[in-house]
Amino acid sequence: MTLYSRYRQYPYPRDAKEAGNGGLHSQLLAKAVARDLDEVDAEWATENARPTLMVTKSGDQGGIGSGLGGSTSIDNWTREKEVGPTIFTSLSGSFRPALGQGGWFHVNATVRSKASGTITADALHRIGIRVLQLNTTGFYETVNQRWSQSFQSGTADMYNQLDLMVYLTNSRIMRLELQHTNTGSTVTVVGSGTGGTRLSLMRILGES
Amino acid sequence: MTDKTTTQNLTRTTPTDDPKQVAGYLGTLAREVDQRVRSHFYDLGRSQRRPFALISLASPLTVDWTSYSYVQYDTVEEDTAGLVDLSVSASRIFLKETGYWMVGGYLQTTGVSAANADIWMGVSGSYNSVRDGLIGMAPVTVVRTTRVTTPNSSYITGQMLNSGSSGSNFTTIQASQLWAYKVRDL
Repeated sequence: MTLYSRYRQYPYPRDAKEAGNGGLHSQLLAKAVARDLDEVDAEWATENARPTLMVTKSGDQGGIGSGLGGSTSIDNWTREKEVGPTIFTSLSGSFRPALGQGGWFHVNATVRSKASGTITADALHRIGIRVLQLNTTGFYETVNQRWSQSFQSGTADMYNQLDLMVYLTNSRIMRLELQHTNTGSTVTVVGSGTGGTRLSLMRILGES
Repeated sequence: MTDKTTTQNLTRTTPTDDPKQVAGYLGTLAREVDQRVRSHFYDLGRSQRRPFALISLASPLTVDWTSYSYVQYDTVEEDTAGLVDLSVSASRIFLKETGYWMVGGYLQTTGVSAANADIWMGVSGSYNSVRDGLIGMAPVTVVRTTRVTTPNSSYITGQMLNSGSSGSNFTTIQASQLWAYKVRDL
């Protein structure tokens, strides 16, 4: 009769007679332990790595006008560093986790921009994180939008930064946007290079 | 007589062992590995669901900030380790475990539309501020790491302040969140 360990139910022989069964119990024990260690290794690789994506803006994005107060999505990102599994497969605009890989993300965004003219004190020049949810008709609608402080009375080179905790899933996605309301002036989001525009997402807790 | 593996100190048989003893040795090995793997699953569970709490405001809140200091949150978005009890304190997240924590907060207000007024947000003794100027829109974020060395002794709050004497005393908090997650043990 085979006996089993208390917690993980690992098999071992009851007595010498049973142990003499051609090493069968050694095989069973080894297989059971290996199965558990495979599971631990796989899950540890995902969770302990704390899935993190760091991206930089792929080149400049120019011609951003005042847009009647609207905001422009900052598109086209380059994967600079990724820890853990690839959660975000597309980096063209919106950030959408793969199915089942969503959760709470700590998002940090830094946008460097320059304007063709001086940003006046009564104008907005800020970045925002917009969260959109897929609705029942198949369209994405805004759930919320959170803003950075506005760069006021700016000159040629400006930095906006935003830290936020955001909940994302395969149907709840995120975009980074820039809003610029200074009429008569266009803005360029500065991309690659040291001090350029960058974004990171670190998953703190997986989907429930 | 059994031997032990080099690094994990697990029981293993040797060529000179009495075959009648093998059953006992396998049983010992099974129980040793049982404890070891159980410990791995425990650590994995801790890692997958680390202490993390996030509280927020469900809807905009107009306040007189001459008498309003700590943001009173009304929604628990996430709490994996019993760090929040809004009925006891609506402004705090308790950092119950020792270790290194990342804490932060976000505050978006309509400001006071005063040219010389700043809105501050503080979390765990760190502050960030923004001057809302003529626009009257003042989001501010603060993030920091904090080291907790005594269990059940620390907490963070979302503190809102202003500096500047002109402008309205009233502002609307359009959105706010306060959060904390544990990064690692000491």
